[in-house]
Amino acid sequence: MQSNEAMEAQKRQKAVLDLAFGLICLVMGCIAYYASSQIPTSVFERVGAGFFAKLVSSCMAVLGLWLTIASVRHVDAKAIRTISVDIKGNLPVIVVLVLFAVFAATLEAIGFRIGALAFVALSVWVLGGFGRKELLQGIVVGGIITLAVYYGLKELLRLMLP
Amino acid sequence: MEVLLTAIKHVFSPVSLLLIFGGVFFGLLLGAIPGLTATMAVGLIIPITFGLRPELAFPLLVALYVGGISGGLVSASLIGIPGTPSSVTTTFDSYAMTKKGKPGRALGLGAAASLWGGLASAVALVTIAPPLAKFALKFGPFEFTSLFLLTFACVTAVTGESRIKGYLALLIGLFLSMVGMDPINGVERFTLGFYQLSAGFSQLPALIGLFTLSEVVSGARQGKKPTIIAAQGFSVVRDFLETLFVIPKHFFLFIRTTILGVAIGIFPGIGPGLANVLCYAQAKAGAKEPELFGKGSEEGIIGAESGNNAATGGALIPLLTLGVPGDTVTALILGAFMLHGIQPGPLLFRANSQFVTIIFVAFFVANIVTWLLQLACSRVFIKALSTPVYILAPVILLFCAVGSFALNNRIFDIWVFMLFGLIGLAFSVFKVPLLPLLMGLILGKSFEKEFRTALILSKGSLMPFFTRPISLALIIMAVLLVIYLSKLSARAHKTLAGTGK
Repeated sequence: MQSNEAMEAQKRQKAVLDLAFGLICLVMGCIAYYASSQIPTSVFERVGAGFFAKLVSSCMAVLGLWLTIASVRHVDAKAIRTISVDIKGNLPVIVVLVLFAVFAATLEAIGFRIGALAFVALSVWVLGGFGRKELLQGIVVGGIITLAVYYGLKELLRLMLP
Repeated sequence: MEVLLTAIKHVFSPVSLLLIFGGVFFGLLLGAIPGLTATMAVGLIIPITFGLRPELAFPLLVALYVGGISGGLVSASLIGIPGTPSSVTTTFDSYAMTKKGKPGRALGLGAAASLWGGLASAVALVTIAPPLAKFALKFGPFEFTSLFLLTFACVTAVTGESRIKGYLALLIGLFLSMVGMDPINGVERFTLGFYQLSAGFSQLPALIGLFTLSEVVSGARQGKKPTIIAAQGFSVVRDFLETLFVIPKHFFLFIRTTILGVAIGIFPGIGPGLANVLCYAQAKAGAKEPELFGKGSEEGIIGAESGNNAATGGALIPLLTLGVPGDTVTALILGAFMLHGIQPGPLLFRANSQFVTIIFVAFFVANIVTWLLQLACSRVFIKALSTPVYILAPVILLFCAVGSFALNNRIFDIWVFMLFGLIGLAFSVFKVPLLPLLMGLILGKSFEKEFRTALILSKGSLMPFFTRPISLALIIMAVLLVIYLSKLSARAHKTLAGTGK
């Protein structure tokens, strides 16, 4: 069972996150409404291409405002202090996501086989703690999976990868 | 009769049986590993089914679905962590039973309950779907709009504490579905100059990204933590065979939870996850000794597992008859239908009854195959549990990239996967439910088309929504369901809190 203090900290954290989400939705809703009003509509149409977009974006803005107002009452300096971003702890995962983006960006240039092997090997090495054993595991697993996927898709399903 | 015999002959052909066995095995494997889900299993395989005929592709997907939902039982029983969201309450009693020295019985009971619950829901599917499809032929734009509203109401009613965040997620999903050409006039909207978006976001990479990336990231955060398996040396065969016929001793419990599971599955947007919780709560509420729940109660395992598998057949009913997904996995299967150029709904039963019958037969067979493979391959799944997440995570990401690319042969879809993956991650940070976003994304275009068509026909008036009887009935159902489901969901969460979880 959680202590009262822990529950209070959770409530404050929730209020800050709700406030942030509400503000994001309010801003998104307003931008979306503006963009929807730029959609060309014929004079004869009551329910044109922009109608549904305007309806959804205005609802988003209104509910975003509601959430913002509902949560701002519970937010104070103490609440904001409960929010912390653990970049160091999440660094391996961030690195893997960057590696994935690099893999996607270079896929056509270097081809699937090299790109996939490099991505899997490096990712296993990073997530596994940069050990030599993990690097070898990554290379072996990456090699097997890459070849299985490439030739499996090519021979069995006639799907060509770069 | 001839249609049924042809369907049976097709499903029992070597290729089809192999695909069903393979699908169930892959689904069980991914379902067994915490952090990987039935949704992921189906999402990863759908692009590969592109090269198969629909009569082979959909039995495979149905097999994946059944296997994936059942797979969570293994890790729930042996390591006390649900393999999938549909095994959360199974953990309470099956892990407790394992700790008392009866892991085989825990697994066997769960597998048997899943089998009988799945078969019962297959009967429900076969008996309810065809008449519902005939009834749905009377639906016009007003009725379909009201049906979509009912779906959105159901999905947002069970979002937990913050209903507003659920509505916002739904609206974001609806907005994202509007990217591309408008369904009535063909006007391009919100493409930001990208020609690749003129047909909108590719649904499959978007769906895979939403549900896979955040799960892979949270699994990868575990790093090199070892998985502790409570028990490994036990006799699977004896326990499985002994528990297969335990269900008749708990007949009334089984009937209650199966009917509840099917009903929950039928309501669009809910599915086996909530069925597991609600059926467990129902089992506890009706038990003679509720204080035994959470301590290795057989009734707890039976209620939870029969309910979640009963919901799978239920979830296929609105998918096949109305083209509305019952849960996240059937939402992906709806994407697969579109990929293969098939429109599920009432006309499917009329135009292609052979194909529908093949799906029914495949669903029956998949449930039986699931039990057999759980019996035969428990040791394999136990080994799979020991696979380090730091190896699994990059491999899954690679499969996601390949799946996203293979659909349209373009790198752009991998970026779509990443974008929606980041949206899914952001949602998990802000604690916003994903299911309403998913429903908005998948059903948004159809909803807009039906709603605008209805308004054009009624010259802008909303009255026909309330004067047409089926539409009015659906709207009233939506209002009543929101109230009922919210109370049911709150009661279920109270029961979970009472179990100390």
